[in-house]
Amino acid sequence: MQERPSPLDPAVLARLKGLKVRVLRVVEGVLAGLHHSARHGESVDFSEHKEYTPGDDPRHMDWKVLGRSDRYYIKKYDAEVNLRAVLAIDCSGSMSYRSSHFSKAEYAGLLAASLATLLLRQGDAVGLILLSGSRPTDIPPVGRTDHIGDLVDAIEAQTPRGPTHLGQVTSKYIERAGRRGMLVLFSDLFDPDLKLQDSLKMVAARGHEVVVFHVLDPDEIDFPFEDPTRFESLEDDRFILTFPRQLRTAYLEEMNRFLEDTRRALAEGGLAYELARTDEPPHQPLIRLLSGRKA
Amino acid sequence: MNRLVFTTPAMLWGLLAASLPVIIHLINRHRARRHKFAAIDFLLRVQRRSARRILLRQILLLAARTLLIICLVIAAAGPLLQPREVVAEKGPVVSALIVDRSFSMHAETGDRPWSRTALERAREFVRGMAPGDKACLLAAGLKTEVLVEPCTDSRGALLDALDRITPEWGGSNLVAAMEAAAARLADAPEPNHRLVLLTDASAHAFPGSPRWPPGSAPPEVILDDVTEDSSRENHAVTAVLQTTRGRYLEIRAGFASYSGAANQGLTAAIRLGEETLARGFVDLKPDVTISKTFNVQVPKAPRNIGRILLSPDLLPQDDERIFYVSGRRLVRALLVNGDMRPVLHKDELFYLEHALAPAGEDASGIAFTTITPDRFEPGSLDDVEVVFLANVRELSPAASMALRRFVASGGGLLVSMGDQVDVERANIFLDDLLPRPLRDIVALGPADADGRYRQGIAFSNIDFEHPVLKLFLQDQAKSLQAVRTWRAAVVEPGQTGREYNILLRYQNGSPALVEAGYQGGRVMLFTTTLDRDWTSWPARASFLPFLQRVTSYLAGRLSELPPPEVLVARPVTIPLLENADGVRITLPDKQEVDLAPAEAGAGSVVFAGTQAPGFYSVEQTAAGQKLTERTIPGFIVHPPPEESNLKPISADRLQALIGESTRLTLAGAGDESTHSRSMIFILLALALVLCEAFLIRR
Repeated sequence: MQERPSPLDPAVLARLKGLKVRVLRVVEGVLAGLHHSARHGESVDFSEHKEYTPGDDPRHMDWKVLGRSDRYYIKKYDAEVNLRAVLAIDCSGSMSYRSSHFSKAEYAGLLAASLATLLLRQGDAVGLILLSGSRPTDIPPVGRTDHIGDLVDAIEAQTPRGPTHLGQVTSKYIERAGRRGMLVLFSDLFDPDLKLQDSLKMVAARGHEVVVFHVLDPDEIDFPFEDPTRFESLEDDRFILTFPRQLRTAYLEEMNRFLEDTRRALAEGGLAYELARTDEPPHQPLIRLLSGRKA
Repeated sequence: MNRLVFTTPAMLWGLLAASLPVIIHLINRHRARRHKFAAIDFLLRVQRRSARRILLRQILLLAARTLLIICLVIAAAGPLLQPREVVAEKGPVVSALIVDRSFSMHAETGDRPWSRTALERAREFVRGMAPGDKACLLAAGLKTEVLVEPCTDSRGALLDALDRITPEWGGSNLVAAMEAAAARLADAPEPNHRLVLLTDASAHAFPGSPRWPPGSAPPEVILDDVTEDSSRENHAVTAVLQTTRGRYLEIRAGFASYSGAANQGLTAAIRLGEETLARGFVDLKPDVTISKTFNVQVPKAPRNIGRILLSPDLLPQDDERIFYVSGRRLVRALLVNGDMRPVLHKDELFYLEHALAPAGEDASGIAFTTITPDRFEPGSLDDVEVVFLANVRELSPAASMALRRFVASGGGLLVSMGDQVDVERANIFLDDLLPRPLRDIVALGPADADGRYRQGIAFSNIDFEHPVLKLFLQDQAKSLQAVRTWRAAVVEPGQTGREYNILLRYQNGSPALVEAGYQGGRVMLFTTTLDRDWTSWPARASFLPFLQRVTSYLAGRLSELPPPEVLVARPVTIPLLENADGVRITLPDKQEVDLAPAEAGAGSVVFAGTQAPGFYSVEQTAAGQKLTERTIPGFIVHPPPEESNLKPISADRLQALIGESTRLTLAGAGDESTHSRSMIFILLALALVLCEAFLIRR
């Protein structure tokens, strides 16, 4: 009997019309995934004490108060509220590549919209930067739940084209960043600008949380080509005519080195990093991120 | 200096295929599919870094593939390394090519007969002739045949003549061929003479030293061994002897080994048509001849061609030998009982019937029917070959006429005497059927006291040369000499001029057994009785074989000789029947040849067309019509046994034979002069395949 595909499988998601519908499916998947994952605490900021009643988690018992007053009190913490998150999506030409159901830009948009929905549901403010060409689209962070409609419309309206200018993202973010916030970047990081990592580290150093979703197509990771091929750039006129079998080994070495260097450099700067393949169910990179972050 | 030549130069057109890898490479580049790709920077970086390595690998791959095709094509074209004579310095060379076409050239190396290799080498030699070179062509077989003379520079004529050479089944004398070739070379004015032997170099083909033409220097002799160093270990079936023992045939087969190594577990089988009658194993020690005996049932068919098959080797034609087997054919006899008695042992035919079928008709091969004279009628002779008239007083005129016709058409008749026989009546109703007319019946010894005659006399003047009496020469002569006969008929002395033979006499000189021909048949007169009334012979052991042989003889079985066996190209003498004027011979390939005697009235014909081994069927003819009678069923031709010995002549031996002053060059396998290089190119191609696989994986 043929196995029924998961409702979050990219092939299934691609059959759903409209980003909003897909986002709802992904968010459900994320929430279900988080429910089943191990979570050790809700927050780090102490808010108040509450008298213990049966059913409360005894791990949150304040033992010092018990020692002083012989009364049972439970510590209560502030939830993460009023976070200002900015989601930045790379909309350069290279993000238009697709080998299966989603292009990298579509996949990044789906991840971003899903994350925005989750953030808005818990009362955070979410903004959006679409990095395309020299004049990126910039939607400031808003905390209303109906703000998701604006974000989704903007993501859907965007067509990836032109060269990559990821350097703009940090300057745009810094411009409006007041108190501590969160910057989430969705990109293939095929940007020749070597200063990107430094500027992201600088943002993190200022106390902002920086998350990078490294969105890549399986073709770019596995390089499965065999026949003689003329590879053409998605952003300019460059091309290369080659026999892929002869280049495959060297290409994979180069790609793996790139992924490892990127992961290591971002980790050193305290940035969160998630590799997102466009052929994996989109809720999985989100779950990996959220699980790790809450842990 | 050597030069590379090819046995199949047309295959070199395949070298055009060497351009295929480059063409395919260019087509692939042209037909490369376009693909938009995001990580183009990575590709460009990798390309820049690996450009030289990739280019080098591509060049090596193309080179390997191109060389691979070149090697395969050259291997298929059959490269040979031939010595390049210093032709330019010495001038044109005149060569005499001798192609061995003897039986041993049928041997095969890898399904390729040596004869074909010899012809291909000869063709290659002709194609490789330098301008100004000439050649003549001889084929050495049963006789040396000069195919192209005088020596010519026409390659077409030489190649056409080579196409006409077919291998033979006899031996060859390469010494005689060398002498004939040298005579042709001596006629050529050019100074450089060369004699090229394309042969398997079997030692038996060099029976002596060639006599070079006087007054001219002996030519250089090039021995081109076409066996390519292959195995020469051979075995053969060399002989078949058969003896009939009752219903069984004892076949003794001879097997010979011409090998330096023992051959264990060879299978030998005796076949009749497609049926295998017997099978066995043969172990052959090096260079020995052994025999093995098989016992098989005598076949039912009258004439059979059997085969002995030994496990085939490189010369399979000598691993089979055919032989002729006479089948079991019943002789049908009619016994006319002239004195039938109710008491068995007193019956006229009591001893005769027991002698003809002592253990049934299957054992003796004689089936008989007994009747009385009054029941004798023309229809009684249907399907009968021999008639015995035992003590018959008289036959009806119709029966007498039918009996005459029966004997005239080839039947046999034996007339025996007895007290019922009336000499005068017998002379009338048998008339000219009797070898001699009867005169009277007389006593051969003195009377006993009771007035009866029991003191007989013995036989004398026994014709042991006659087929009927031949067997008594050694074994049972005493039994025959112990016979006593006391009463017999006497015949008229020969006056009529009719030919007859007296095979047996009594001591008093009176004939006991007289034989005469009667047109197509034979008649024997036995002047005493077939029971013990007048002679003691029926009680003797010799009586049984005597009567069985008489029956076979009168039926014509003893006169049919076994088929002669000769070697290829040897003549066969075929005896003629009296009424035949020729023979029709059916060759192994089913062609028919009519043959008449060289001189009218000669008793035999000689057939010399025994060019191929096999069974040659012979039928006697009269005025172009086949006769049912035959002297021999045919004859068998075998290949010469010495051809099975493939051991080569040594270079020293050959040098000694042709004379120390004659230059001898050994070409062929294992020598530097003419050598197939196909294997080298195949190995090179294999190495290139491995190289290509390595480059692809890199």
